[in-house]
Amino acid sequence: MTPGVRRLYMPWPVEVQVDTEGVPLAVGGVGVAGVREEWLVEDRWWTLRRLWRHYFELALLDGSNVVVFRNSKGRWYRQRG
Amino acid sequence: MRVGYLSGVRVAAIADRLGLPEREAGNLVETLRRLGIETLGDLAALPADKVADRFGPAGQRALRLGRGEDELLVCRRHGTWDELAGEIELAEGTAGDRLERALELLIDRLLASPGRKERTLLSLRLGALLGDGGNWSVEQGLGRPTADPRALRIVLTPRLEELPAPAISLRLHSTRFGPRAADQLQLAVRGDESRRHRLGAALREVRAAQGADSLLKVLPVDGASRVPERRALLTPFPVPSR
Repeated sequence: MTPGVRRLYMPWPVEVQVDTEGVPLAVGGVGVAGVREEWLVEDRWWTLRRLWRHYFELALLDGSNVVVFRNSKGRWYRQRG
Repeated sequence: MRVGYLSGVRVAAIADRLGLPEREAGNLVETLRRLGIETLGDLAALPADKVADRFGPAGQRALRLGRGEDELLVCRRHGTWDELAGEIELAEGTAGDRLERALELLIDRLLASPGRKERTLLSLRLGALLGDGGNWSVEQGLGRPTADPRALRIVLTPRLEELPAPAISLRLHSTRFGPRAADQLQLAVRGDESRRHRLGAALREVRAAQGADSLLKVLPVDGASRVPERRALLTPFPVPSR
């Protein structure tokens, strides 16, 4: 990323509980009502800075709709956009 | 070796003192930069024999300049030492409008940089790191001094078509400065321009008081990207020249 340039829609870390399949059960302590969609994003796989993300669009029990992803290191992030 | 106050100076400062044609000098500086040799301090720290092996007489000359062993560089304090530069990484397959947006972003950042000190630009070097690992760069003179982002876009955008392969990053840096924009003669000011000038003055005042990041605009870069943070950037709001 170029120094001094700010991106919009940057992801931020979030706590996610998952089941044995790795599917989210709760996000930030709020239970998941259902998985609306999931998809994989891979980019720059030919470089040392490979990007790999497993995205989930989730409906939560409080009625909100969130998008989270797990990266190649197993860390979870929430993201808008 | 007098590297003290030279050590932080960018290697581009020696480009026009190498005794080489402009293009060859630019290529040497670009190669040094790609090897991670950004400043004269970095250059001066290199073993002379390795520099000679890799770059020949031009490299030896560059090393002497970098070590302050050449009076010419020591005496010319008003060269291009404070060159402005910007680089942006590109998403996979960036081309067409998205490549032009990236260039637009680089131009806006260059013009908004406090280091420009309201000077106009006379020439720029547009470069790219290519997906196959190669480099590409081209020198672009502007014909007359300007700090107008539209004028820069008009002359630089067609050069993007010369890219020999898909780029993974785009780089733009100033190679020559002109006089301060305020020092240039104004031939005529139409009535509808006075408002623009007042607006420009107000924007400059805000930026001077609140910092370079106080005036930003959202620049759509890659609206269709699957990675949300690549879709738009906050970039310096262009202030009309005086």
